Amino acid sequence: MLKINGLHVNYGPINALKGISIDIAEGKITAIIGANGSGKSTMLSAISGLIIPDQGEIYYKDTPIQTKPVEERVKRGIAHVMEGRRLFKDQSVHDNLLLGFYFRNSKENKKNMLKQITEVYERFPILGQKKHQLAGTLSGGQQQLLIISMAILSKPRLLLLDEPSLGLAPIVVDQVYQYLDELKAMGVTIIVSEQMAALAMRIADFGYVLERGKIVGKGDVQYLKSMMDSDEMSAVYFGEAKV
Amino acid sequence: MSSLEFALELIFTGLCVGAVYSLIAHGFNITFWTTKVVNFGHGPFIMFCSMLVLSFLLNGLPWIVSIPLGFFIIILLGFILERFSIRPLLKYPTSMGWIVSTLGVGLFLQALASKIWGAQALAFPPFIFKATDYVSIFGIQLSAQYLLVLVMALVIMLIMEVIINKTIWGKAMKAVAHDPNFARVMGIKSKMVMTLSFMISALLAGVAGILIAPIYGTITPEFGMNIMVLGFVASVLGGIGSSKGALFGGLMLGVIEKLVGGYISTSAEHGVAFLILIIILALKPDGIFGVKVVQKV
Ligand SMILES: Nc1ncnc2c1ncn2[C@@H]1O[C@H](COP(=O)(O)OP(=O)(O)OP(=O)(O)O)[C@@H](O)[C@H]1O
Ligand SMILES: [Mg+2]
Repeated sequence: MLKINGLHVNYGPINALKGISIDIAEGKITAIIGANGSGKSTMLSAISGLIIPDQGEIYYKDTPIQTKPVEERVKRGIAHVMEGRRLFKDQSVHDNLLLGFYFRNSKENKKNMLKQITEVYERFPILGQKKHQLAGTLSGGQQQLLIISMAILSKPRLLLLDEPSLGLAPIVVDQVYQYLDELKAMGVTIIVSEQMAALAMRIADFGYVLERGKIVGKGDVQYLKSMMDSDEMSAVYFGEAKV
Repeated sequence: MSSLEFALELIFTGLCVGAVYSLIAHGFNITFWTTKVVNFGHGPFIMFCSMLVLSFLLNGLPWIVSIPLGFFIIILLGFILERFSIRPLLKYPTSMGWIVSTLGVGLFLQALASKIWGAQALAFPPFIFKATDYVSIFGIQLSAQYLLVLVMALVIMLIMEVIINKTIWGKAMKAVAHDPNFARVMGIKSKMVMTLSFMISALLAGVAGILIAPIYGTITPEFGMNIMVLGFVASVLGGIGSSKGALFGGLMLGVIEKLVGGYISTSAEHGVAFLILIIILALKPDGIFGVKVVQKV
């Protein structure tokens, strides 16, 4: 589904990614686990096209996409839930959903716009109740549900989520994760970044551990669980990667 | 004429020129929203469009052809401005280069106008109505030309307001203004929206020029820069980035200016405008309807 080969990204003198290679299986949830500054967001941005890498290839369904603009990747079915709960906070919940739908769907699909937005309200009634409110006035958890709902209005095949659980109450994290499981069941391939390995492991089928721009570990849930008990992994878990 | 009538007439004229200042402030706002750039080339765009239209008229073209042609050229110039002197700088958010580049384009247009049409003042003919046409409302005599300007400026601002708040394209523009990267992820072509905002802004400059020129009666290559400063004052007064602010800032400035002109001296008009700006900024640094701009990465 997605294959990354020797990816390098530099911000001026800072080497954020130093030759990353990963392989993402279709229809699975893959976790990218790493501490602050390890390069998770940079990696997801390189996949969605917000950042063009300095070196390396990104193959999506066997086509290299690393130099394609964001809009093009959106059309091919990649959706990105960026970190920091980005929303059009000065516009209503409904307008946010309209914006999420309108520019990423074909003319043909646009006929179903209101139907699909109504489906969002049915799935999350709280969003329906607040549809005329400004998105910025929603609680953090409601915002996260809205953001993910917006992201999937393009019916993506690959969904990237950057720390979707950050700052959410456990019960809301459950709700978000449950929704990701539903999406997985519908055949969406998901990559989720988390600082908390323990959290990611609850939903992920496979995981990569990222440390200072390099992949330092990978494996299935069993493997990651076993690593969690070791020193290295707990350092990552607590977000205090050793020097 | 009674003193009340005199005051009402001053207020009316103030509202009319003020509406044009509002239109100019709106022009500033649109590009400010999408790129956080204050386009100091806006004034010369105002001038250049009216100069173009005037020269078409003098060459025998009718109004109905001259105005759309002028608008077309000014929109094209807005496109060129964004492409060649704004976009290359947006890659460096901390660069102050846009001050130089927008001002530079403005001064260039001004010099170009002097070269083509000369530096002297040119008479601009009244539009639709004759200078002597009057309408009488509530017992006061209102110049039809002024009234036309007021109505047109208000209608244009209303249309813009509807477009921005009610259409998907307006919402997309607000989206880009709020967070261009998130907008891109949502499939909105942020760069295209930025270019479009400069084209719309240029059109608003052109409209402001065509509306104000018949009121001034004559135009010079510098008049755009001068009136732009007033539009800028209106914009800062109301709070840059705010539509309400642009409207009220412009109308307020226009009325105050004309009242000062009528009761004190016309030569004090603009001086007072700046005095007001300084006082208001001291009291409310973000303007009357100011919105705090949150910088995003
Ligand atoms: N725009 C930027 N300019 C300069 N350096 C940057 C920029 N964005 C990220 N970096 C640097 O690149 C490295 C990786 O950052 P990145 O945001 O990808 O990490 P992250 O794993 O997502 O961290 P977090 O958990 O804090 O979100 C860090 O050292 C960071 O300081
Ligand atoms: Mg991050």
